[in-house]
Amino acid sequence: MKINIEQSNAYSEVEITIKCNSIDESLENLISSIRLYNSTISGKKGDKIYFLKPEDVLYFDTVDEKVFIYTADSVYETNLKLYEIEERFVGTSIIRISKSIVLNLIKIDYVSPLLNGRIEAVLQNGEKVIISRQYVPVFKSKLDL
Amino acid sequence: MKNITIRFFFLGLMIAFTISVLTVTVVMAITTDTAMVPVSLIWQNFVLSVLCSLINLVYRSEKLKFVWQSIIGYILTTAIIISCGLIFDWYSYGGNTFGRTSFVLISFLMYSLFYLMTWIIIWQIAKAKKKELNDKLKEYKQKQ
Repeated sequence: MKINIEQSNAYSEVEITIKCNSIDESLENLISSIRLYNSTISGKKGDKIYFLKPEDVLYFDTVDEKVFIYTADSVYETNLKLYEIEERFVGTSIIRISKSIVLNLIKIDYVSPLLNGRIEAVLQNGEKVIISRQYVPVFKSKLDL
Repeated sequence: MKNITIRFFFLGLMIAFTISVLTVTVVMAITTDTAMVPVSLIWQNFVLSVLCSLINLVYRSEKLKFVWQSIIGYILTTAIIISCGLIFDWYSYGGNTFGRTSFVLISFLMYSLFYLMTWIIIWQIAKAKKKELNDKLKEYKQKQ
């Protein structure tokens, strides 16, 4: 793979062009990483607005129609709807796992099937979230199962 | 989702009906001299199977934790089996020598044994599934 980098003051933003014959698995992973790098997400905490890197997010959760962003050490509120977050991170490790949660798969420590078709995911901070039956096939296909 | 619940019900009904008919056949062969299982007993078993399959739907609940689903399922199913035995007068069927208490005790022990065996099988399957899922998750995380 050839990597060409053009650095100049003429460019106001970073632009990445991929030229390829076909998109294989490793290229898909690379595109997924670029997408994650490219999209920060804003979250409100108190009076301040923070710009968060998606790779720092554990999961997004809806409570009383408000969407919250959970990181390892903080919780932020966002104006984005859950489906908008889901659409924004299509093709990345961030996927919908239930009606109210969008989860970053990278932040899962381990999973346990719950015998009633659901899966419990234990996150790196020890929190537990449930992958509902409806979204188990999506989760499994992400893992090539 | 409703279709899956209906399928789950009929699958449970099929399994429960098969097991109950087999159990009755074995019990009758041991306790009576009758060579045939009467149609009335088959119908009674069908009623029992329908009730058990309805109770089985508790495992479809997303609100209850699995441990509670198991406890509720076990208590209700045991109660239904014993109640059906008493209502349909199985304990004195064909003039067998079982007393009411013995019948209740035998029903309870047989069902508990079956429940335990099912649990062990499910636990083994779940253990293998867990390993497979976590291996794949590890692989996925390494790729990212």
